[in-house]
Amino acid sequence: MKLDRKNFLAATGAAATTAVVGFPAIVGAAAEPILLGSIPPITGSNALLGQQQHQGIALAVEEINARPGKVYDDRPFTIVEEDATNDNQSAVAALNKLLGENVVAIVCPVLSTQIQAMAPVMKTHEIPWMTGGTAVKNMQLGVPGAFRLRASDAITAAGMTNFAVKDLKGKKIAILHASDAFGVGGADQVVENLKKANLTPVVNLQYPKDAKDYTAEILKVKQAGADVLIMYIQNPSDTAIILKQIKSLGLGIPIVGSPSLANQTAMETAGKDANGAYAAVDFIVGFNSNVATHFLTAFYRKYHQLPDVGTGSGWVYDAVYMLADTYKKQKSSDPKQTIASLRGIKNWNGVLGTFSADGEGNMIHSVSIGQIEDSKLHLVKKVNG
Amino acid sequence: MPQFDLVANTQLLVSGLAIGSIYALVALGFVLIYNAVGVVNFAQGEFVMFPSYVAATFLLPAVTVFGAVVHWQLPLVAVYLLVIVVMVGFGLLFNRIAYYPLRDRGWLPVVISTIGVSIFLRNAAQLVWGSQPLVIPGLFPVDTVTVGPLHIRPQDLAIIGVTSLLIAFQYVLFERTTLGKQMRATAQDRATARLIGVRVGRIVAITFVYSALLGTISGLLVAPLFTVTKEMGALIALKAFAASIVGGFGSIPGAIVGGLAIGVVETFGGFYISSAYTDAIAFVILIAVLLVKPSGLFGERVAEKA
Amino acid sequence: MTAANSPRARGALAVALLVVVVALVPAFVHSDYVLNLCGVAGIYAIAVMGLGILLGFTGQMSLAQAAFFGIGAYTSGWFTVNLGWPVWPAMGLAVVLSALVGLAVVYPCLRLSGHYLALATIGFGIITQLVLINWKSVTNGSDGMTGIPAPQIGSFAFDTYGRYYYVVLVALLVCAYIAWRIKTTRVGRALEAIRENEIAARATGIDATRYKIIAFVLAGAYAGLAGSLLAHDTKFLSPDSYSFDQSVVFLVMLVVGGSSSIGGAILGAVLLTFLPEVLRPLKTSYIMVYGAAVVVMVIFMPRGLAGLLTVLRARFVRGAPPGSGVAIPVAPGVEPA
Repeated sequence: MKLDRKNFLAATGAAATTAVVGFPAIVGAAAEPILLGSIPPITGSNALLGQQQHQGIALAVEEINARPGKVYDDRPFTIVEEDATNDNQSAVAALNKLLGENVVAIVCPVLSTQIQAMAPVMKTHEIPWMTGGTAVKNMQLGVPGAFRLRASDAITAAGMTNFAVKDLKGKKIAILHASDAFGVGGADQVVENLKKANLTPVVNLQYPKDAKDYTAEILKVKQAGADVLIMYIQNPSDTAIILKQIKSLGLGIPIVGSPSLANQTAMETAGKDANGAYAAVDFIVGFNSNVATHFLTAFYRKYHQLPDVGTGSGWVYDAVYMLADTYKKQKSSDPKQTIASLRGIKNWNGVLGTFSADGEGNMIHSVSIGQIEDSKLHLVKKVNG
Repeated sequence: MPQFDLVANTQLLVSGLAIGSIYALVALGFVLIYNAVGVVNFAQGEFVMFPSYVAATFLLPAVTVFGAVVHWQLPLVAVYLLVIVVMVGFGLLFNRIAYYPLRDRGWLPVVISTIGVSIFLRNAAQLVWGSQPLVIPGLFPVDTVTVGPLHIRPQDLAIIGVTSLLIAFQYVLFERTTLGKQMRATAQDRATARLIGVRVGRIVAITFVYSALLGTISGLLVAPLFTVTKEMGALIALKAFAASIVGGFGSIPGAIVGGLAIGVVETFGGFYISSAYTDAIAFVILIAVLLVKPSGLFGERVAEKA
Repeated sequence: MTAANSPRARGALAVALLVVVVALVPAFVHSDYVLNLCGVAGIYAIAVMGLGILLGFTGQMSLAQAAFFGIGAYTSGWFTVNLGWPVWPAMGLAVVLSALVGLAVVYPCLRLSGHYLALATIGFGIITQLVLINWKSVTNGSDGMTGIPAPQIGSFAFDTYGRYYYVVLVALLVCAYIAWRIKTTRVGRALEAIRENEIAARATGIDATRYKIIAFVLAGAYAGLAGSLLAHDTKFLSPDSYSFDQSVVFLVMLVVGGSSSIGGAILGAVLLTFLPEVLRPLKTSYIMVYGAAVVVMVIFMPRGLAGLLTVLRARFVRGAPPGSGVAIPVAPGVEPA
């Protein structure tokens, strides 16, 4: 065949067409996004948590999508987010909507009541469910893909109680807790642990939701002659007010708080009134080295504020990275395969420490006790569950 | 049961009176609006929350507004004046949007409208200022003053003091000035007031503004103690509503006494009975009063307004 | 004698058609998300209908519907989880217990009206929620109750949203029918008379006390049934769902839908269940828009959504007298105010 212009153009045209038609098919198949479901409480009374979780997930996804190969084989994450609000029914609706959008994994919630409300639905969907709620029961509901990326209340409360009794030499322990599931469950665990040390709390006080004045509670603690106060409270505003009033009323005994006490928000809101308080935490600056330091700097660079690591941004960041690592290793985002891989996770390093899965899906088995000074935490001791 | 202890009881009394004063001020705001227009304002709590946020925006060195960090710090007096101006506008706007279009439709639609406004404002606050609680400094350089074994918060005393002044001011306003008398006439019977030459529409607007200002003062007093959050007004408003009924719905002294009573009783109840059930205590009292003497302690009106 | 062509017969036919259409929804809609919402909307509609009998028909304010909602839910939850009762009798017990509590609560409230009654019911609601939170031995407190079973007939379990849809639909139809019978008979007229002017009603020989009690008990029973239905749908209970805010939601649903019609109660529940879902794409601003929408609706729809539909229907269907609306069964001559 002569290579005349007509043939040349035809041949080039054919080649170009094949390329144009074929190219997206090749690229498209490789770049198929991984749909990552996320269900934080963006509106409602837990909006602060929702915002932190949103930020942590967004940061992780941004970093992973910017690295060569993205998750694996150039596949990026696409976040599919629904608002869990603070109403159980709305949370379940959001979950159903999310599941209808064919996500391969879900990150959140952190609120144990929402987790338990969502469990019946998640039981029939075998996809990885990365949760952060600390109520012991969360992992006992028969949900195949459920994992817990923070220390359960059993571990945290044991750590707090042991510290109060052994390190602070407390004999007359007072408990002050919130009326929500977190506060009540945590306080119950503390009482259990005190029993093991042959102690009972001198007072075990629950304050009503939205209370703003704690004079009665603090005076009762004083009058009972307590020598250590253990607090199990999630809301940073409540925490701040209580710490302020404790200082105002001159309670003068050491305080050991649940992880939320050492949240950045709680520490900043309470300011100098938090100084000296101890808290059980999943995470302490400088303690978990590289991963944690990177997370803190990257978060600050993107959002211009320090993260609430424990309940808010840290664990979700770890959840997304853990999924990414697993997908990369198995070169697939298949949910069932991922669940099996996650079950076998041992000594995975994240912001919150070292993750190893146990039979129930719990991944963190230790907490640290830190002390607050100038809105910063200093490590005092590490406790294993 | 804890034993009697003079120090503890004094502290409880001071705290109880302080929170009671806030309930009283908010209850006063309720009652004024109710008297003027026969409506229960479900957004009264937001009359406390919103000015607190506005004040925080200009009192703090750095605040997040619509996601961006701003530095609009102004001196204290300037901030108070600014907030007052804003809240006057707020009261007028509220009157125009939530009440005025529904003024001839009976009380239920207006209640629903105020509910809608309450929902709107609470979430608008989140949109504008985010979800972090804001901390406003108090009026005093120290948080506590120690007098022997007593620890008193000067802010608590300020609350009680300012509330007393306001009540005195209100008495003078209502009994001694023309404006006050016009407000009372409108509250008593709008039709008759109109007949004697009172410009009812204007008085109603003024009532909303005055109620908003009462909320503002409550907010400014209490924000340093409570931290500023979008939910800060909700429970206060509910208790204030209960207080106004205990005092006798429609009665101004009743609102004040009711508010103080509920504040003191729930604080002492939290100490002597149970802190978990503090809210229940307030409402049990309320129900008891309703059953025994529905017109309340100072009941002036039992008949429903048309 | 109702002619086959009369407005009454046409209205009944229209309702029947509507029911058939609604019953066919799960055959065409397979989204779990939508089916769940439909079920929930229907459940809320039952509670709102109960409030409608009390507030809409009889003019008695109550902000305690959420309390009965919770009592019903926890009753059937407790009996099925702890005593292994089958679901149907547990639901029946939930209704009975809610009615009994309603009976106990109404007596002291008989002398109250308007804001006083409202506040007494608010107080009752808050106290009930506190009991649910603190009576841990029975309710499990804030931790909530898990493992609530789905209802069954033999080995057929209503454990998917599609199947549960029919449970709710049947309950809704029964409740609507009862409410309609009340409204269109002597009882309804007595309730209405009490709403308009209780003193005058008594003067004409109506035993206002007895009727107010009936209305209150029915409202409690309806809410109790709704609560029980939701418990066996979600299979989880926690006390935070039964708050004063929830009672407010029911009230808003009723007023926006149209407070004195049954269709209005249903419309309001459906609208305000789906509206927040439709607004989800607005992310953080959606509740703001919802709040604004409520204000707008109450200003521009004085008779609620039901009233608006009646007006529209009257305009588009010539010859149809107002008051004989399609999906709004109303006795002839009675204005759906």
